[in-house]
Amino acid sequence: MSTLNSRADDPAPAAAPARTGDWRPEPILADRAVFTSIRSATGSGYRIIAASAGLRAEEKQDITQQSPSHASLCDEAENAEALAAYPLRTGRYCVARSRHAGLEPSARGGFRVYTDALVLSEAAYARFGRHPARVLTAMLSALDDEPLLKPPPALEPIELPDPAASASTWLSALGIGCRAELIFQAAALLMDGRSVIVINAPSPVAVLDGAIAVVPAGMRAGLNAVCGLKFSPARQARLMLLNGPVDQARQLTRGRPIDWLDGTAPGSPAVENAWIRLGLKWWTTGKRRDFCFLAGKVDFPATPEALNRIAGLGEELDRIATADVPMLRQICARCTDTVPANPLERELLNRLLGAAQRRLQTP
Amino acid sequence: MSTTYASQLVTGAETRCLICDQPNSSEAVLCAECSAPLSLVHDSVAQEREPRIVSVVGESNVGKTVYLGFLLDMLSQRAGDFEAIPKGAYSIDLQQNVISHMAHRSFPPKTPMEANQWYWAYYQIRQREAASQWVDLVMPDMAGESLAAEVAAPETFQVIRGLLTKSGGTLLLVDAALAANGSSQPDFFALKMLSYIDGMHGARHDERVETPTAIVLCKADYCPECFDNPREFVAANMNRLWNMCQSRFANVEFFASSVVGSLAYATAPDQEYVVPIPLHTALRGVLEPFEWIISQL
Repeated sequence: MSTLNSRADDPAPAAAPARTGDWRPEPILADRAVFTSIRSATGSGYRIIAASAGLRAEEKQDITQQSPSHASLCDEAENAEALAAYPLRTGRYCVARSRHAGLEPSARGGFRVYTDALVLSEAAYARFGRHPARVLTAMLSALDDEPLLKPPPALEPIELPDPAASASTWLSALGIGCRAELIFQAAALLMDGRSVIVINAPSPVAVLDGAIAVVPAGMRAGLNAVCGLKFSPARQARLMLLNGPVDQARQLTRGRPIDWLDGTAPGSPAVENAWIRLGLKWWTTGKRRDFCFLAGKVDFPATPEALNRIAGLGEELDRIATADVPMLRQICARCTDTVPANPLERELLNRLLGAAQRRLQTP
Repeated sequence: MSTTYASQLVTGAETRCLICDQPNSSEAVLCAECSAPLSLVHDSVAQEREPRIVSVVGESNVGKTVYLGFLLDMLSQRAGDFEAIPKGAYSIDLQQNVISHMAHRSFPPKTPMEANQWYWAYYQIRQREAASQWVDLVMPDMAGESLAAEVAAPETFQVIRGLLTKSGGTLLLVDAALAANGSSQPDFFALKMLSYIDGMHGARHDERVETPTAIVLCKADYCPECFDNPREFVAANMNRLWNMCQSRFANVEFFASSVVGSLAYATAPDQEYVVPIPLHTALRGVLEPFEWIISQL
């Protein structure tokens, strides 16, 4: 079975210098801000209580607007968590993890909401495949789990582990606990430029993880997502995953162009989308990794026609194993005559040609 | 006039926000730009006149929700010879929330920063004895942290700027208890708030802000001397605020207010915090600031 991974275990390979014996990937540094409610000499209540020096004033403003405050997590349990990812107006990206951290200090009931926000450059975010769940994994290993409630005057930037090291683990766990159809329904809507709210997903983070992973990497630029936070117009994202009561969210989104997907309702994505059709087929036939690698390689603004061609080449690769000699010869001729529109097409055509020629040579 | 006012706000499939003037879909519940409820627009169109906005501002935990909730409840019960009619059931949510919590001897929960979670009250008010005209008032209960964030970095929360720009009167609540204890925090916050309002009005150095501004000393039960002479209290304990009012605001009055009659404190061995418990309410000075604002409109 043909595979598509060029660099082992990293579906989002960044341009790298030629390796020498002592080559190390460039460290990924992220600025950090903590948004929560504490009492201090200079104030009380929800605000950015600490930030690294590299964080700009406009970025702090964006983080203040987007970060959740009192009773904003969908889940009211003490161990509830949430994830948000959004572009900042400076061109950088923020990935924020929110959770409950003890009681609200004003003693008026409820838990304190604690948000750790990491700010990455476009290049750094691209190394994570512009995928917030991958940044979250790195964040969890880089940061102390203990909330920072007595902050220092300034925070140091955080060095995040190279995502390539954890790519295999991430891919192994991708989409576990949720239906493939739901993942691809959400992805299809995102690719159409729609905003989508997913409710009643058994594993909302898995849906977010899977849906973004199958969207071509070039289309993830500027894509914002929220998982586990109550709906707020100020925090509206292209992909929103809500759990718990959603009546208020339905009311607040009236008149807005937002699609709703119910994780418990059966449904299938539109199969006239060749990319989605290929993805669903590969996902359910054990080629999930291959499709994620392919999505990661579409790291350019792909038109629907370009995606259709790439999906078509993927379908052809599937046919190689069972094609007869005349079909194999047709494939070879097509590969030779076709002018690739982008480097990925060239790569796929070369692989297709190689695979077809090997089949022809095999007695 | 009625056609002109309605047509300014509602045209075909669009509804224009009362606070930020942005057009919205006629089906939308909240303004897409500032999250102000569009029900305000529909209710104001029904009244065929533009409502006046009275903003209640103050830092986090000063008591804005409790003050406004009790004020609205007093007005509903025709205190001070006011007649007040809520427009829309949503206008009653705040007072119900406050009264219910206080009846169970607890303060209401913290107001979230997200504007779609705020309570908004739209009331028609007049003083019966004076046979005065009806005035439509919109009074939102804003989160103190949102106000602080907006003051620190203008246009963080567009709805606040819009509200304060359009306010016909402002109630600035300050924590008299903290100030009496020697804390400078209430003074600094009030100074920042008034500086923000001053900056927003863009007045020249020789002009002053004309918007009626009531400085309300909250939690005055901790320092009853506030009630004797609120002006003197502010001049003595919140000198920065006092100087700002003198220099830049032409129409300011000072009041003292208290809602709690007696307070208990509860804690548990495994708890870090002490929880204040309002044992009973004893409203004092709640209506007077509002009365003054109305008289100035």
